[in-house]
Amino acid sequence: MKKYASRIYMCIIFGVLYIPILTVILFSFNAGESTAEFEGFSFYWYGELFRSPDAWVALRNTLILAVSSSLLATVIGTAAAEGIYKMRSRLIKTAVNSVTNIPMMNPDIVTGMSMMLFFAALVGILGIADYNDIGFLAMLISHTTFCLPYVILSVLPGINELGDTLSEAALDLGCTPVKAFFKVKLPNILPGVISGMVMAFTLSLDDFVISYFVGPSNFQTLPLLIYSMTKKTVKPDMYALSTIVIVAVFTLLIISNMRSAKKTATPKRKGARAK
Amino acid sequence: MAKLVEIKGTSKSYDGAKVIELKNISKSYDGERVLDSVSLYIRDGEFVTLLGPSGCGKTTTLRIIGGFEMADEGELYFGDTEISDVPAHKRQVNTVFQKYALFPHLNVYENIAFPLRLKKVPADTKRGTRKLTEDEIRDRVTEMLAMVALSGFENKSVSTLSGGQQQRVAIARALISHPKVLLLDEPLGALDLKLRKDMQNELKAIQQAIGITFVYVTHDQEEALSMSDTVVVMADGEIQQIGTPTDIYNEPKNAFVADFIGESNIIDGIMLEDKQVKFAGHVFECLDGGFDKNEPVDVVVRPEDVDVVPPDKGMLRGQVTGVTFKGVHYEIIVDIKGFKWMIQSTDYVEPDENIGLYIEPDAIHVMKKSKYSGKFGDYSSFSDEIDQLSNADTAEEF
Amino acid sequence: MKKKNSIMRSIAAAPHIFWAVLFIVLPLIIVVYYAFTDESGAFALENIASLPKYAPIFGLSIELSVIATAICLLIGYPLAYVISKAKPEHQKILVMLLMLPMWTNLLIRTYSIMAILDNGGIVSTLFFDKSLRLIGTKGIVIFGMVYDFLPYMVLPIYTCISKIDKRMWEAAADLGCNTFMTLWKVILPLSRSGIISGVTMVLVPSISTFYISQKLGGGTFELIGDTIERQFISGTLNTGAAISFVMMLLILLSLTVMNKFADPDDGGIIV
Repeated sequence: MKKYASRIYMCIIFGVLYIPILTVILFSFNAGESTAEFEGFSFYWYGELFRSPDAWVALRNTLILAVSSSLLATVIGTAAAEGIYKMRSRLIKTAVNSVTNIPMMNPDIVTGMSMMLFFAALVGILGIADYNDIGFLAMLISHTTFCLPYVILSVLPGINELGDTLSEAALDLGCTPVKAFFKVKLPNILPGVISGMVMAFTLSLDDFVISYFVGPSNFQTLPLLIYSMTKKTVKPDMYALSTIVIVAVFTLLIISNMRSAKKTATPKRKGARAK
Repeated sequence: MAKLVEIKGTSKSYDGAKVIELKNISKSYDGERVLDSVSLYIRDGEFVTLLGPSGCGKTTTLRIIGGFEMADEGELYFGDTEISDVPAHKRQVNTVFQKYALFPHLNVYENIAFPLRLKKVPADTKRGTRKLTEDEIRDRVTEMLAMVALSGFENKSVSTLSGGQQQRVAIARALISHPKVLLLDEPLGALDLKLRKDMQNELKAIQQAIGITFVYVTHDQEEALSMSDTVVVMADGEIQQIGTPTDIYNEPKNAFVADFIGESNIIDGIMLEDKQVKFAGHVFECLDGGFDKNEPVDVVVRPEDVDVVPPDKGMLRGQVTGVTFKGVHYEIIVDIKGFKWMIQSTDYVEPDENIGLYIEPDAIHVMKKSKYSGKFGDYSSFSDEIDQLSNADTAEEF
Repeated sequence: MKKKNSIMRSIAAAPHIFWAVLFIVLPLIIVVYYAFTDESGAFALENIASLPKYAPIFGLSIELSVIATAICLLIGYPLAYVISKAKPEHQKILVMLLMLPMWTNLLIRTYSIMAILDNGGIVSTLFFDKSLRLIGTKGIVIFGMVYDFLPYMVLPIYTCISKIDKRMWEAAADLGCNTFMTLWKVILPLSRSGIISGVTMVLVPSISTFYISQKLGGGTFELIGDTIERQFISGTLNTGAAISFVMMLLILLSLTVMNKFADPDDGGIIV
């Protein structure tokens, strides 16, 4: 009885969560122009989308931005996690962590606003004629900034768990500190680094609010395109685009989840447990 | 204490050159002093054990020698060169870590080959250096695996090995670049008792075979006595005594050493004159001298050195309060004027029986008073667990 | 020499610290600067002084987001609990099912609700009444927030509950607790940090949203996010900065208060 109650409860909630998403996917295959009446199955709107230059440009921009900002965030964030781990002073550690977490804690709209004002000021100070000239750079910096805390948060636990012993063993056997990091530490914290990178990539791919504030007119991303499409009467081509985005994000999610599943399946390493 | 008989005679004196020397090394963490002016030298080819309870500073000392910690004060010498500021990777010292610290992402072969891949050797032709060739590396790794009896394990993942096998890999990896000194940080701590004994013998054999210096850290006094040439007993960040295992056991310098190494009855006494000490209300003959007249002292009597005799023949008389069968002998607790003595005897006595004790002059060891006086010795409250409980706040290892 | 050593140890964090100062701290300082200057750049308090005008909007935003957060907690806690009680292999799937909507773009999810409930939408078509319009009420805006942010509530609580040692249940039962008492006296207090991070992760985006209220409010609602967006569109950046500044203070204040209740070690944020 209790079991059934909890199953029904789960079904209702998951049902409500999924109905809108499934509706989007369903109507992306609508033969007609309506987003309310299903007139038959067709790939028409996908064809329409593929012929639209806007969609292709937005896709390209989104990917360029997501790849570059997630890579940058991963490099800076992994180094930062290592540095934060090594900090002796609790005070400095707390201060760095608090500042790092600001973009995660702050509402996106405030982060977006602050970034926008920052770049506006920069344009003024440097005397740049056209904001579009630094548009991509502004997007890259903004996306890297809000991805950084997530990368650090995903890398730090691994570094903490690994402890100093393995690095010390590497130093003891003749590695310079830099070599010890790359030859011993990095291979052992790689799962956290990769999941941080995947998360950064997904966040960048998915971001609307900050891009909306910072984005220059010559650099449209998919979420911005979707937004502009929902400003007008929506045709199923927006649904087709959404479906593609949904499928892309789902795929990433499944890949990263399978990775973490594999990680927990392998027995815990003995050497890594040393305090 | 059968072991004692064996180690007598094996202790040899070393006159090799000093390889490592610590001069007045001090170290604090967060204002707490964990090493207080430690001075110590280690000779070439010696097996030295740093022995002491948790938090005594032994591991910190080892980490300073290894280069993982820098001393706040004092100097560290390697041969004649000062290496206080030399980073770990430039020191000719290798370490076997507490839980082995094998690299989980590398197999057995690659773990052992790791130091060789970093090594540069003089090039054959011109001046300059080159890396070792794959063949050279393979030869040396194979040889090393044979030495630690792990031939055929090359391609195994280190996480599939047993504790003892991981231990061997760790030793092989630390020895492959022929360090002058090998540091071992409680290397047998994670093994079970039986394996521990085997590995003790094996480690000693390896050390004798290759003839390099071992600096070994342990809290296990039996391990220290049976393996070492020299034992350094530490407590509270200070060296309490340095000596051969026999010296440490027979001639403890203070109450701490006497209590920590083996079982002992530590009694307050007064040195009446040379070779005459009074304790427990009786004047005993002893072999010690060089104290002031009527100087208060600590007297150590080992439980196995006391003979049980009929009350009228004893130098001391008391009532048995407890008898425990220990296999080889009985452990007898005797109340003598309120002080509980521990005696080991192969003869059974009844609880509550009145017995006499007889102590030979050479069974009495007289020590100067120290800050540890009065902290140990009475067996009425003796319990390892209670000891640990009362030390719980200081039990954290550095 | 010791000093230098301790700085060198953490040198790897230098690029990040540089980045954080330049692109996190400095932009926030600029927000404050804009909030206290007029368009010519001269010091001015009129932006701040004009804020009381927006008090009702702040009030409405807080009201709706607090209600939405409370509903999320009420629905989400039992869900997290039920998931944590499922078989381990089922748990993985259920968590995935929860994460998929979370990672679906908010615009898409919100728009699809509107498309279902708006006049001419699916519901109205099903009821053969094209003029049937279910959006434009407070209730539907709250529903949108709950729908969009529920997974953010469930996941941290789930992580927290599933980390609780299974023996706690046995211990509590052994000491005489029934299931309900165990939940109330043992599990709930132990999942406090999960609740706090869940509440944070729902409250912050709901209070600052502008898309949900635009689409589901049917043009009748203005939340604080909408106000900021309008200032951005119309170019009255100083006012926008002032409102952002106040919102940021509000949120940082409530986060600080909430973090006082969280266990310091048991980090909260789970994504």
